[in-house]
Amino acid sequence: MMYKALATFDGVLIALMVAFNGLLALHIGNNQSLLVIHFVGLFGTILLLLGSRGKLQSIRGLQPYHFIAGALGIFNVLFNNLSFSALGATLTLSLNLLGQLIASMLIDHFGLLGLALNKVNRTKLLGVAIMGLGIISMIIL
Amino acid sequence: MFTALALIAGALIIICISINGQLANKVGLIQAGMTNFFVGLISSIVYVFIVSGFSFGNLSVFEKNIPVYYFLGGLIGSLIMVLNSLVIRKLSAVYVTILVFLGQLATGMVIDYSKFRMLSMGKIIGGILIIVGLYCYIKGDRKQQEPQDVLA
Repeated sequence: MMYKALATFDGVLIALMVAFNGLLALHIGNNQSLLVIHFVGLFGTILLLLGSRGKLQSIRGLQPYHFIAGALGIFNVLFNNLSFSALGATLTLSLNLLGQLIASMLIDHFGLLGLALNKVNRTKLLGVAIMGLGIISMIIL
Repeated sequence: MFTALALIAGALIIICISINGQLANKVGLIQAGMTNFFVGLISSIVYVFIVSGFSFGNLSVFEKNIPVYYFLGGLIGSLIMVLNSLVIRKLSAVYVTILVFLGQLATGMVIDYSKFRMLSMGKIIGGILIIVGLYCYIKGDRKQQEPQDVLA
């Protein structure tokens, strides 16, 4: 039960993060907010590292692509901020979820990023279609 | 247009989580998050430098009266990272994915209503449809692997 509450709370935090980031971008500008968000996030993870008494691990042996996620992440933040100001929180978050499922369906279908092959099937497509209907309902109703 | 941006943002989340998971296997969860924000900060600086015409002319951040908590998005992001890894270990994929989205949906509606006075019957019906579709998708995903959609 506690973990179910935590999972729900996790979702609450995600929504708050997207909203705060979006509101910050509305007030101080998209570029400035990108800098602030990543600076504060770096500060947060440093606090977590100190709090957990963790030690830094050597980054020897890491591949260059291991570092790409952070660079791609700025477009995630930027696009969400733009979308939030135009569409609001609910629609932005719902579209995020649909985009995630479509991306993971494609990645699994073609076995990209070193993941095992897992073909698209009717049930998955039906799920994505129902979600698409949900998005349309949010936009037009 | 903005619809497409939000969809692409979702797709980016999946790619970032896949890469970040591999990084976390090597250096641990917190350092992986730290690496992400560090690379993100450097990338932001480069990006802003390029789009603002190779100058940091007018980048003041503190001139206006803004609630302090608007600045906490990055901090919340690092908490989310830890919370994710905790619940994924204890609950099944179906529960995590659906509960996390329920939390997002409810909070999103409260935010939309309080900030923009936006709340329609369509949003509520749409939310229910999305959860049904999500459940259907997970059922169809034979791997029943760990959920990939919980980090934003």
